[in-house]
Amino acid sequence: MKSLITLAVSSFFLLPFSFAAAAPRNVILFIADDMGQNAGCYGDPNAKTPALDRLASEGTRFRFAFCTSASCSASRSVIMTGLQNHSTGHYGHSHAAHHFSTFSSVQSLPVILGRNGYRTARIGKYHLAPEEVYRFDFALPSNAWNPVGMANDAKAFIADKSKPFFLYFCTLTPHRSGGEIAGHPLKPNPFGNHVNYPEIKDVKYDEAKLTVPSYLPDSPACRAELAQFYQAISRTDAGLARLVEILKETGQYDNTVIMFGADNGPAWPGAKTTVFEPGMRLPLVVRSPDQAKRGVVSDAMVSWVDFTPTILDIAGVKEVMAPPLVRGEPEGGTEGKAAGKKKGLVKYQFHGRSFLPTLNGDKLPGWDLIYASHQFHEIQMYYPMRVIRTDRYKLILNIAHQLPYPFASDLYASATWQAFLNSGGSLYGKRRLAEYTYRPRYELYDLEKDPDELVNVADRAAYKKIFDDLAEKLKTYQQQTRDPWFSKYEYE
Amino acid sequence: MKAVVALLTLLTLHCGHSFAAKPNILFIAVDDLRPQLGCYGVTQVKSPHMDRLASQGMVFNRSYCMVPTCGASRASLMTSIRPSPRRFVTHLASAEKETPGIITLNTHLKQNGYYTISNGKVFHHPEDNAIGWSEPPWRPGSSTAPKKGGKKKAESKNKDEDGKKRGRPFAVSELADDEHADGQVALKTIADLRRLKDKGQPFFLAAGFFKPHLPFICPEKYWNLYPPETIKVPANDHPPKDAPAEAIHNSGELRAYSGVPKTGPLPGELARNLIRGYHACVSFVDAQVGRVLDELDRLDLAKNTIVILWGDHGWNLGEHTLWCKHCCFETSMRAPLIVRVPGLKGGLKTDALTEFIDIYPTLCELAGVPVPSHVQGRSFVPLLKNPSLPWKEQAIGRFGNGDTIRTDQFRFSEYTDKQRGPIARMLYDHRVDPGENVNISERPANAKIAASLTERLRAGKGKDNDLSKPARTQP
Repeated sequence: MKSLITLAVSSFFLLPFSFAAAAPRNVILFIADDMGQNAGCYGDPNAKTPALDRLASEGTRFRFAFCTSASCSASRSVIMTGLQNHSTGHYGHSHAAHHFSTFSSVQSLPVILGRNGYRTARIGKYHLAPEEVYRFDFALPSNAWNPVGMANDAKAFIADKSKPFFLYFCTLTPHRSGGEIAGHPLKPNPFGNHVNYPEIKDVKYDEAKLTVPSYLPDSPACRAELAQFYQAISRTDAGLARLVEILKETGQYDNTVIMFGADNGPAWPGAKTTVFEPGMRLPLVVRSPDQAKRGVVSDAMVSWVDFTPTILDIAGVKEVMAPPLVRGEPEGGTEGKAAGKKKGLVKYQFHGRSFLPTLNGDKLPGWDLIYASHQFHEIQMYYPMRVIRTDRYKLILNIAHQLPYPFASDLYASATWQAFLNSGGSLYGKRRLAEYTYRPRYELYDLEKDPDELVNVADRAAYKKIFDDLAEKLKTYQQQTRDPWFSKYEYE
Repeated sequence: MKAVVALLTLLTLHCGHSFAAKPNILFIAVDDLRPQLGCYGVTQVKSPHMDRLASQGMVFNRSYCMVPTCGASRASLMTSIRPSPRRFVTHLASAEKETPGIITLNTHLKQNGYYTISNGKVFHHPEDNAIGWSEPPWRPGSSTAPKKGGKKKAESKNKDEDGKKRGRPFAVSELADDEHADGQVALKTIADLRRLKDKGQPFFLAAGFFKPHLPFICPEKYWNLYPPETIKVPANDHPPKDAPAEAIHNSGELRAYSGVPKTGPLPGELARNLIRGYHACVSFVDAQVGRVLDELDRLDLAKNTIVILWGDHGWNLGEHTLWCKHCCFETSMRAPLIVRVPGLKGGLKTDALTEFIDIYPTLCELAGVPVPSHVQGRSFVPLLKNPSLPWKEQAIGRFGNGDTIRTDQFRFSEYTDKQRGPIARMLYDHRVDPGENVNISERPANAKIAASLTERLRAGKGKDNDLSKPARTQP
């Protein structure tokens, strides 16, 4: 209300500068790599994350935050466009032979912000293509395995007060890495911990005392890897701590909205690349200098398609006028050719919406449903899935259910999975290996009764009404978002 | 004047984050060009266009390549990482393969808003860090090359008399400039300038010319600039006195051409023809560079375009019995570097020691983009403003098993055997012996200076493990 009055007054006196009073906030979007809700503030019994916990105590922690595709590159393309990746052509990894990229007519967050008076920079992991679509003013060089070093490397950019800024801060932690822990008999992946980072004090975890999440096997190899994973999470958290410190040192803390999220869940079979809860349910902690309440826990269901609209909302960008989004490129394809002829700008539509109204934790109607859409991780991993998830149910459509579920090369090679294969067991965590590998067309889980998603109730009569309702909603959503896989409803 | 002010403002910023309009960069590489040009005081060589560039910019009299062979030199320049015994070693060096994960100059500029183009020979391998070019790297002979001529045509005319694959080392070509690879590089670069002018995005346009690399083939008019009777072999066409055997090679690159004896000194006429052909090719390339510079002026782009011209290393024309590069002498290590920055005073020369790894951070500073932490060079922007500033105390490079250090007064080289350690060394006093004709490393009176230079060389040279190793990325 106060800002409304200010606005009214200033517009009366200074008409051409009516927005001068409400200078847009800076935004830092911190995206960790392969991290679930593995933080103290989320009740994770292992994680030591004082900086993130502190951020949550000053801001809002979302319990129900979801990526749309549990795969690095695909997920990041969604974060940066506000669109499901089935609509942008960014079906999987952008790097090396995988070679997916985004249609050139897509309007990305940094480009829109750049047009609206923001300075934009990215630091750390990028994993997007092409450069032209995801253009930032600056690519700040840094070692993305060292989040504290990254924060230091971003300081000059943060300190500049000439314009509001958007900083896309992407650590490579806690992703799996190369290298090894010298002398460890179980050969756990070191998650980047085998390198010394002079700025960071290592936080070590005791393998024996860890609580193993229910989707993972409680084996020595898995414990050894979890200890490394959590150490890398603490290193990520140290980066957040340093970033906050720098914001305070430069006088930008109370002028900056910080958002902390991740691209997808932890790098283990059962999480990353899957649409099970460990793969897609992620941390989201937001601290805005403008929020009325602090230390809020929000039950609003938000999705990564919401990031771009939310950040544009913070930036005061009410609508985006742009040439219409077309599939394909101007010189190729019939749709592309037609697009070349289309003139003029249209109001650009996102698949998400701003979640700023939910920051105060009020129970608002309409925030109880999200959709997800996954196609590929690596190029050899074709496995399109669609998800509709409510506060209680999750319906998964496995479009290519005839195929065995494909493995990511690094997850397959992991000490955890190799130890599981060598054990000859059939139960991975609580899930049968056969059920992990061979999946039905539809999976429906009642998460209230079955939080581990083990009992598929899609065919049960008692759930028929729910199934029909969700399946219909999912189909409608696919049609609305021009899902290329929608046509399979018609010819199969 | 506006541009001058903008650029001066830009130059005074040291934090690396500038929001002034970014200047364009025209990045001209010339293969095997030794710093014997008019603007380097060698008036016999006809290089009017490079001289014109120099008259508007700064000539670096003592700039040194990192490795005197093309692939390695270029990989080191484009990464700003020193060569080491196992990194950037041969002409086939690859930045992408030998320093994976390191952001090269082109990629870094592209990621920071530049439209980046590679024409001709920039990296040795076109596919090296191709991700850092906004368009696929272009070379003459590719499908988008102008129809007529090209490298193949000019060089296939070069008769292969005694069955050697490479043909003869020199020839007069009856083709027009545009039918040679370098003419095509110029044409493509000119076409790009026209296209980029209105793109609304700063550009980093790299034009890599192939001559005066062997074989020396160019149109007759350039040969005619050098009457045969004016060509003289160098006075020091003998090994330096007391030089170790390690210092001298057999010029294998040249020996692979037909009509060149396998070993031993070259017949006088062949030597003079090679020298004449080399200089003719320098003038030929100079003309191609001139066409590009003319277009830059015509399009009114010169006012906001930095021009940097460099040769990848020196070249021997019979000095010390050597031909080609591949050694630790001044004739191989010293290379041309001319930089023209809009708004800065032109016609200046500096004797400061600079190394080619300094180019990367210099262009970053001029472009107002941050300098990556892996960079081992040092920006010479301050020198561009004041050529007589006290500067680097040494320039260090290497070739094969030799490491070499140049100070203001001396060049000292040390050869190391993997098993046995140091096996030979040499020292030249440039104050009295600029031709490096007498090795004085073993004279008792020089023991102290040799020891001190040994220590500086060993401390400052590139080492296989001197890159901080980030954990490997597996997205």
